[in-house]
Amino acid sequence: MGAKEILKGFTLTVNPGEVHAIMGPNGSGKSTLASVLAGRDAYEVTGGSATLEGEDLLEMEPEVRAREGLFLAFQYPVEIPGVSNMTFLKTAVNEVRKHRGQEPLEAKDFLAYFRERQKLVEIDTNLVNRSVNEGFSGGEKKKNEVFQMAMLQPKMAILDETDSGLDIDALRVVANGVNKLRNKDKGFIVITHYQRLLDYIVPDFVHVMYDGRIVRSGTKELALELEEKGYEWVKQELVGA
Amino acid sequence: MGETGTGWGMSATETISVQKEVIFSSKEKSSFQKEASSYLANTGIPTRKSEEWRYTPIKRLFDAGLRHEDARAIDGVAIQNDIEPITDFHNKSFIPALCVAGAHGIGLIESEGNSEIELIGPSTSNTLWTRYTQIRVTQGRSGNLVIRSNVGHTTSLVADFVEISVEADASLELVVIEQGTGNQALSIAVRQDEGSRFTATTVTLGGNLVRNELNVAFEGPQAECHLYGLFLASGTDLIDNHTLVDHRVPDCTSNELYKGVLAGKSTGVFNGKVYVQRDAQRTNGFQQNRNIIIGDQATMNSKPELEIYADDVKCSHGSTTGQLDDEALFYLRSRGLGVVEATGLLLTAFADDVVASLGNEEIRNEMSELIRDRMSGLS
Repeated sequence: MGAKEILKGFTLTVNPGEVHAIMGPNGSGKSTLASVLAGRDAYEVTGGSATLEGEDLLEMEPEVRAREGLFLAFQYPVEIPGVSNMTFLKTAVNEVRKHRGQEPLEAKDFLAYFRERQKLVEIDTNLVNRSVNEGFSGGEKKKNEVFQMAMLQPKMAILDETDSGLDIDALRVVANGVNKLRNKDKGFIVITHYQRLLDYIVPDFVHVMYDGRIVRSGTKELALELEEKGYEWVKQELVGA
Repeated sequence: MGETGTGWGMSATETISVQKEVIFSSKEKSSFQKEASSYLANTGIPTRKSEEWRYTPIKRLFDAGLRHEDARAIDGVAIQNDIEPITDFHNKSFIPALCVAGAHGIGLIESEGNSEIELIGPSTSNTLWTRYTQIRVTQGRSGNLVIRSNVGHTTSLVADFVEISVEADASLELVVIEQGTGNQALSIAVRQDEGSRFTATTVTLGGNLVRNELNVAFEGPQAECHLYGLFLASGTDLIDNHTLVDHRVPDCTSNELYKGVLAGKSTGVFNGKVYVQRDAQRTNGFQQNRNIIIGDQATMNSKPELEIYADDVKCSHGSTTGQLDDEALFYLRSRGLGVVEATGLLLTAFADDVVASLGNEEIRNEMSELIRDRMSGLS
């Protein structure tokens, strides 16, 4: 197998309550970063560390990372025919509760919680009674990711190009969901190719990723500058330096 | 040969020990029983050289020694002595021949409304039980029949030949539920007349050696059959499903979906034949076989066989054997589900369309639960 180095020295700290946007051209390593943090086994971590509240993430199985409070909103959510969203989420929520030493939710309490979360992120009922993502449109899949995030209430959420392929209405629903979930305890990493999403989810920090590294960091103005000048600008600056 | 009263004569020397131990009683035999005996005498116990038994070493059980003992009759089923076979399988296939030759009569079930039977196996080791049963659904009637079995001994064998006649405009929904750790051969041969409807769902939740044969022949037009199968094999289980749908007349429909999950070092066999005879114009024949292998050392042998001699037909078949979808597994794990829960959920979903085929809600719920339990234990 041809092994290829993708992430080449990457340092980022997200404090509770902060939203960090990571932008960068295709192939810069943004999605790889998300996958590695979530524990996808197609990647080998050759060095460095990743911690969540001081705990070593890289030592954990993907499900343990999730139970510890890490969430990845997939760029391409997987369709799972035959598994209902409801069963899936009930199992997931109760696994997380078990991990925290809490009793599983009874059917009635689960349903109440389910409805409350649904209302919060304004995601309509007919999505959640179907099989996981089966036959969902691109927008519906992304909404479902946000709904799952609302159900699991992670400490650290990574949104991997959640805006890709969304029309403006879906984008608004997704962004609104994230904004509702934003609070002083939660951290977010929003990975995006375009500045557009950041009009709706206003980040505290913006980082530009190129060739496996963060090459520039700044505030939300950096995203606007990037939108205006394009990624070529960053590349040229790097070559010039 | 088979008329000597000491069982069937074996021509090959290698089966002599078998001949000594498998001795059928010398009671008066009817002509079709003599045919069955003489078929056995001519062919012997099939070895793996026989295409029909290539992956299923049934001869091993005989070689290890099997004493033929009168099988316990099926509870609630009357034994008849004066009825004739519905098909000619006793004269052309091993399990039917074995069961017919060894029978002391035919169990007869007139199916109408809901009924359930249990196929019990021997409780002693190295024992062979054979039974021959007929199920008849008379013209215009409809029946729902559940056949259960839970066979134990790994050195014994219970063989059943079940012939089914679904008469004109009649319908039968058959559910077969096999749970157990022993050896079982269940050969079902179905004759369908004009306008009849037959649905079979065979669920096999394990077994040392399980051989299911399901043969359907359309003898009248406008008939349809739906054959569903699901097996879960683990450990060193061997689960073999052989099906044959014979379109002999025009305008019939057959639809077949068999699924298997293989864990551990288990082996699965699917052989699905669909014959469309020259006169069987406007036939619809569909067959799907899907298998998931979750054991590193499990093997699946899948062989769909379509033979079409008519020119105006719609037929298709497909067979896939693969592993669980890694992406789906990772997706579920990334939401906090452990490998065992995630695998169980995915396998249960895989089985879902077979379970959904069950018309009886009570049975459907029972099966979902059983399958969910077994699936979460497999990974």
